[in-house]
Amino acid sequence: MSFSTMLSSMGEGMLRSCAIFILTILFSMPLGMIVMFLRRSRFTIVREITKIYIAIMRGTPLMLQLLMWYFGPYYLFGMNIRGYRFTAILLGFSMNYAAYFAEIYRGGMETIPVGQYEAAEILGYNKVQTFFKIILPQVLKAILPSVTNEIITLVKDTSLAFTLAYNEMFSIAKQIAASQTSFMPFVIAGVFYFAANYLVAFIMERIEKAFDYYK
Amino acid sequence: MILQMNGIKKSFGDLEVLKDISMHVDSGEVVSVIGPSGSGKSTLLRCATFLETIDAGDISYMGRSAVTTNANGVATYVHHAELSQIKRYFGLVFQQFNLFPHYSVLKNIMDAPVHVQKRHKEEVRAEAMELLRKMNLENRADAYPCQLSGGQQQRVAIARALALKPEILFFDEPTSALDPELTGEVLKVIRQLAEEKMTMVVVTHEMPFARAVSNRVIFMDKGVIVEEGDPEQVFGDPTQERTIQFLRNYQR
Ligand SMILES: Nc1ncnc2c1ncn2[C@@H]1O[C@H](COP(=O)(O)OP(=O)(O)OP(=O)(O)O)[C@@H](O)[C@H]1O
Ligand SMILES: [Mg+2]
Repeated sequence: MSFSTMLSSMGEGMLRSCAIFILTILFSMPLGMIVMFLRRSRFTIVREITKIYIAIMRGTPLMLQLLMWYFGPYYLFGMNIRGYRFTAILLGFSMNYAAYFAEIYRGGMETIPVGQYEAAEILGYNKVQTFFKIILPQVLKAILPSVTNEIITLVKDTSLAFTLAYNEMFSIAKQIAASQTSFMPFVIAGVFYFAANYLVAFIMERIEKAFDYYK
Repeated sequence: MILQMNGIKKSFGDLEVLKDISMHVDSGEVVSVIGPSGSGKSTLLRCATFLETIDAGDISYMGRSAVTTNANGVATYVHHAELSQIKRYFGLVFQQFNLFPHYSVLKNIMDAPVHVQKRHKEEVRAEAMELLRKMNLENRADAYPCQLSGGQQQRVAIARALALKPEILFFDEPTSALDPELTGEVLKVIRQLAEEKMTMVVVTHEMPFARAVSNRVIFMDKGVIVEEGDPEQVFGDPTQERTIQFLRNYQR
């Protein structure tokens, strides 16, 4: 197999890896916000259930969670899981990352002094305005470094989709490496993940700079 | 009458912080509230501005009732829409300024008038610049709070409160978080507002200032108003033993 055929079949895997990455970010970041609000709910029962959810998501391997999301419906409900693979992957990744993002957001919320809420209340801002105009921008600034870490981890974690035999880049690299007895696919995979994370770090640094204008 | 508070009671758990406090503020009056640490001065302001809910008593602004207590001693606040209207009557300046760090000085002042009161942006901008001139900060409009001294931040906070055109402005120890050399510039601004007949209630430990600026002084201790009156009387010829004690400790 020539280097260019190797690259082109891996390129297709890269697109799939990117799809997992982008869709997971798109789903898990807003979902994490909801989970954070549930985690801070004034109803104890809601808080406790959310805590358990977060504990499970953080306390068990993502690989295992992916298997559960994929095979669970079949074993539990006898559901036909053909064509369900990609959905299971997105569910697994999004639900897992939402838990991590929720905890990051929660940490960020706790850095905001109560005086900010009180000033906003006295000035007449309603709850929604207070959150989106006053609190959230400050939370975002506070959590950017942790979010960067999390995103970099996600780039590498996309390779876990091989567990469900989804042909993302890492799975293809393994197949080619086995069939061609070549080490090259792994080198290409390594370069890909590294470059992707280099890009992530670059973009995040830009965003952090954009928040540098105060404090 | 701008503010009327009757029989205010407030406890935190078992701790009774306000025990049956009544006070009123007339238009154009400057009232100073003094008293030892923990006597409930901040709590009184926080109850007056609805940051804390009272356990019993009545509060009304401009004759509009915000909370009333029935014969069974149950305090009931008016519904949300009416309370929001009433909240427009007052402003509060905090000890810790509480400016929004991600907004420039000008945006700190303009944002609420524009987005809460829905007033015209250009009109608000002109007024905000005028306020900054008054605060002697017209060249810091584009600065961020972190770039200002404490005294400057507090003056921005005062401008921010004034931009909403409150009927009455509360101050909770506006100079306590400042270095001694910066208190003067803030007190000067408050004094200037007093001359313009701005209605104000000022909790302060600056006794000479309270004596010079206020029309009335309230001395609080352990959750009650111990003595109240003309500043010359309260400072010069206090009648209550606790007031005498307190003022003596202050002279040092
Ligand atoms: N949220 C709260 N929960 C419990 N106790 C409180 C709370 N706020 C105030 N207290 C208590 O109420 C009492 C009065 O506090 P307050 O802050 O009103 O006093 P103060 O007169 O403003 O004192 P200082 O001059 O130190 O500012 C204090 O004993 C304080 O510990
Ligand atoms: Mg206080």
